[in-house]
Amino acid sequence: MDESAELNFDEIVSAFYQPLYRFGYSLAKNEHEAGDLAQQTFFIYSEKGSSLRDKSKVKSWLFTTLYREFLRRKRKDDRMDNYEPEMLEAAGGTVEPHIRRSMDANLAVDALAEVDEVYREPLSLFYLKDLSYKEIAEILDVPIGTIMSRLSRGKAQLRDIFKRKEAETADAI
Amino acid sequence: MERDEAKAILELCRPGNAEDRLDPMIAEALALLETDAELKAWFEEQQSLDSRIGDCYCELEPPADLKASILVGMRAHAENAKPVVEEEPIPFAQPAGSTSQVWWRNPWVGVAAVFAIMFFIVAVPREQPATELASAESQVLEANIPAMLQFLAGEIDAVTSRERSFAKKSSQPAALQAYLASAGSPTPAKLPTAVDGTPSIGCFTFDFDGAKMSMICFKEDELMHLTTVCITDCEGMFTEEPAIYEIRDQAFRVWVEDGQVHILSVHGSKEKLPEFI
Repeated sequence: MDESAELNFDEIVSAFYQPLYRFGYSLAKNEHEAGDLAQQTFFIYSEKGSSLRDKSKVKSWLFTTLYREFLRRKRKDDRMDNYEPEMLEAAGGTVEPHIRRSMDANLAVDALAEVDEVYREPLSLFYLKDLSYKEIAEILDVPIGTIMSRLSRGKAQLRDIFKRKEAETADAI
Repeated sequence: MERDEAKAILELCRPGNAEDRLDPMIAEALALLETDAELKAWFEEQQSLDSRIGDCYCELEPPADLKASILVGMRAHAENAKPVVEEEPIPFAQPAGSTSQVWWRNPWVGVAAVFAIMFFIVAVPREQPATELASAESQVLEANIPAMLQFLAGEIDAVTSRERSFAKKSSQPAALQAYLASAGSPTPAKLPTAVDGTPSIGCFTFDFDGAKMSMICFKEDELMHLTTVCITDCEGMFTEEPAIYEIRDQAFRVWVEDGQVHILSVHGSKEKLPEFI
């Protein structure tokens, strides 16, 4: 690997590993699976990134790749006859116990987990703050109009849940 | 624009994001805030709440070692994707006190050279048939894997994980060849011995940097893919000499014939590639 490629990897990983992990976490609801998804996404980039002609698309490409990788694993898990406990954990719908997360992060993660599934993916991408609605539509491969309505309805749900949880947390303190 | 419509559009605007505010649709909705105080109050409240939710969400920190393990993994991964190269001989340490010898003065070098010449005369045929060019002796191992092959490896991954649909399915390779020819895609003029008589599954067409590629998938005991590209579409990428590459868990044999570049690939190491093409 030449030096420029290495520098490029370093820059790209530094810029995107955190939001990719967060998106992975919102999908898998599991710290290990989220880390693995982020890692796999960059491995795929290290192999195929050179064929990406428009470098301004790197960000969308990475998120799309992570999302597809998640769906691929999910499909594979669904086909599995003999599943293993860790696979069950990854495919499960419950959020992992609060490991190494701040109270605020827990609040957001728990609130997002309560939103209807169809709204969860666009909302997770929106609140990462890195992606425009057009990029979100491209990553999830849905029309812009659909993203508009999902964000609008999903945000209404999330705000209510978030406010309730915020109040509960304040009461508990 | 109605207020409800404006609200739906304003929901797309990320708090404090200048880029979103330049979006024509969002800009039009934002312009209404100047004349609609109620809408403005609603928008400010939503932006404040969105900002709070976003900040909380972004406090979700990845494991401390994730970045380092990604970088290490990427480097290792890229190293694994390099072509197979001969191992360099490890030089023996010279005995202490010995003087360095000029290699050509060593009588054993002369003996070895004679054996090598005799081996060349006896073992290497004068002219190899085109279909057997990819024998082990004729492999060319290049310094870098061509980007086209890396792209192809990724596409094959997607195919095997069923993320791609066949352009056409058929167990008759001739039907696939005819389909590819009618679609203006590169078609192998004749099938190599390795897949001749093997039932096909289907074919795919790809575009790599403007180069049209076609791939026919065969399956008997093992899955094999024969990819064809017009040589003018990949000038300078492959040499006339056949070559073998390994990318992750796939092996590729590349050769040029009849103005076309052919790439035969199998799952596994280079040993799983058919010897004769």
